Amino acid sequence: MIPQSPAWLVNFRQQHWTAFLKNGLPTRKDERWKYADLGFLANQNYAAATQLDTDHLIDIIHQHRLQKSEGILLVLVNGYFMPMLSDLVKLPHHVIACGMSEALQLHNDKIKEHLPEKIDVQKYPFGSLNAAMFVDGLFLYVPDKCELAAPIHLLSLTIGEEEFITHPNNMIIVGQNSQLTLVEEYFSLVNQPYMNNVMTSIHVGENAKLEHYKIQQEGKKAAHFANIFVQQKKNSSFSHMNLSFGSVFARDDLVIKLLESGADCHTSGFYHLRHNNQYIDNHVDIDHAAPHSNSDMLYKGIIENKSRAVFNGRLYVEKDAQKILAYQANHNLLLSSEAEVYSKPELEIYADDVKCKHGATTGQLDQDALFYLRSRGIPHEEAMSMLLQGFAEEIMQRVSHAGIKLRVQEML
Amino acid sequence: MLTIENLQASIHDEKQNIKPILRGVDLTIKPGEVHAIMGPNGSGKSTLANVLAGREDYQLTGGSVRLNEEDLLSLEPEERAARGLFLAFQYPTEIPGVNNMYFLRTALNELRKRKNLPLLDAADFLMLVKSKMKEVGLDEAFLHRAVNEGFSGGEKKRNEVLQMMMLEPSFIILDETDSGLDIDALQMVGRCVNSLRNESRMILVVTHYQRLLDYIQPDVVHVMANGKILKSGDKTLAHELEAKGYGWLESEMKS
Repeated sequence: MIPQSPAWLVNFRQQHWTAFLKNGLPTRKDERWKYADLGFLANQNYAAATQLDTDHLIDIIHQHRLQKSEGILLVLVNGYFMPMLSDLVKLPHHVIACGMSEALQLHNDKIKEHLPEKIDVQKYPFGSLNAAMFVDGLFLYVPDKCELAAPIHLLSLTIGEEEFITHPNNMIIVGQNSQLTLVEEYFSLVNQPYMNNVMTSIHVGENAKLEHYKIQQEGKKAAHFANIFVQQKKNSSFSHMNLSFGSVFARDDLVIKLLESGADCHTSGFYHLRHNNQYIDNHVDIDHAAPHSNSDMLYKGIIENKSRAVFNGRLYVEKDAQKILAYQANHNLLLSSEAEVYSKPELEIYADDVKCKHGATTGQLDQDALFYLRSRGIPHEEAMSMLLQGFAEEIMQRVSHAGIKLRVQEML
Repeated sequence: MLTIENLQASIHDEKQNIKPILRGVDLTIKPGEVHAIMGPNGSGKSTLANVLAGREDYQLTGGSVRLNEEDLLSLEPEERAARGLFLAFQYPTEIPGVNNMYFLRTALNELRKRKNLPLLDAADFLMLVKSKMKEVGLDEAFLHRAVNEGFSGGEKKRNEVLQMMMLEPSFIILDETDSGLDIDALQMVGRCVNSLRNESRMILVVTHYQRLLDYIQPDVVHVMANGKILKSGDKTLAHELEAKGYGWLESEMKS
């Protein structure tokens, strides 16, 4: 446990722990967890991750820097913030980046203000678990009127020989009229099973703009759980892109609350499942709590072999939230007869003056297009890869930053 | 030289019945020759073109095709392209997300790789493609769009001709490239094809109408009906068909 935890935090953890125990692990009777087979958790004995000596990681970390651009790298190893490996000197004045455990000592009020007060344990059980258990994570504070030109690249590495569990808790606060691009990347070189249970609380202040990319390339046997809770203030803009490729089991819950008028959010994602028994599950909940707020969701995925993908996009428009524009789409490409996808759009609208569109498609590779390319002398494999990249292009176009674009292209 | 002997192909229709389309096609094209195949709808002209290019929707039930003494039918579509075969499609496929320039350059460089020619870099490629685009009358903006996506009928056909001009294939099949084209576009197709005519290149023009043949003068005209070549002759046969329609031929065959 953290030394000298403030009383509110002890209480906060206790509440969530009790709630988690009472709720238990979700079962497939629960609609939100219908397709998730959590059976593997019962057979797993994860130990708590410990802080590592990290001198030997410098090379690995260096290889993961964004190319073609200036980025500010911040590093977590097994859920612990690593100031010695991070580019703290590159941060502008008044921007704070430190470990959560340190921030709890120094910036207690800010954390208390921005941690989600209540987490619906039935919907987000692993969020509750994280709230009860977290030890460290990144605390990032961008004050008012501060525009960061270079993206902040949070690299979260998992290293080690044991089968362990981590609960990193990240908090990102972007003050009024400020701008930030954040890449949150999960990467591992290890082959044994481990579990990463992340919670990220994001606050986008009035007139602020946050571009957030989450890249998941966990180890092949890893389980990755992520709850991202976003709160948006007046005229703020938040764009999120979820790129999910690794792990055997990945579950992302992105929960956005558009609290005040003029708040805009753009969410998108791309997943590519290549291995048998791989499972990637994206749940997006957007709550329009204020009028004149806009949102969109565009998730696309490629599912190969005997793997399964789930997309659930839920849009909730509250009674007084008029003049809403919302769009939701999910498109899937199945490359094998054993691949499965479950796509479910949900709209719950209580206001009258709302424009919402949604669509979902699931299909196979266009054989005519494949033949067309091959008939021009392009070999089968190359033609396939051109078509798959073409399928992802709609998402790629949303990446404005050159260095991030390059990183994403490498993964595709 | 292309030699088609007794080629037979069928498809499964909606009820999964086997439906023969080609019922024994014989055709020989010598280097430097331009042949035209005419015939009514459903006669098997397009099927023949697609079978030659390697589309897999058909069952080949008999016969053989040799291109320069090589068994064409055993080759993958990309291998046929590498041997110089090019089909300008009747209905070019739209490929969202795949950039037209990237596609053209990949195709061209794949062929150059196989011929052990140096690959074209972006600058050299751009110079070449821009000059060819002028010839086919396509605006340069089409380079930056997805392959055929949202192109009009005429623009798609021009894009096919552009690919032909870039790849300079040695055996060209035009599958109703004239359909849906206005006079200007038709003249452009004629000009481009004629510019490629030489003593070794083989060209097969599949068309309903005689008008394209005003621009591309064929050495031999074949009439196809019911999956077979009914009659072959010189270019005057095309005029005769235009004047009389196809009915007289079928009745002539029966008698």
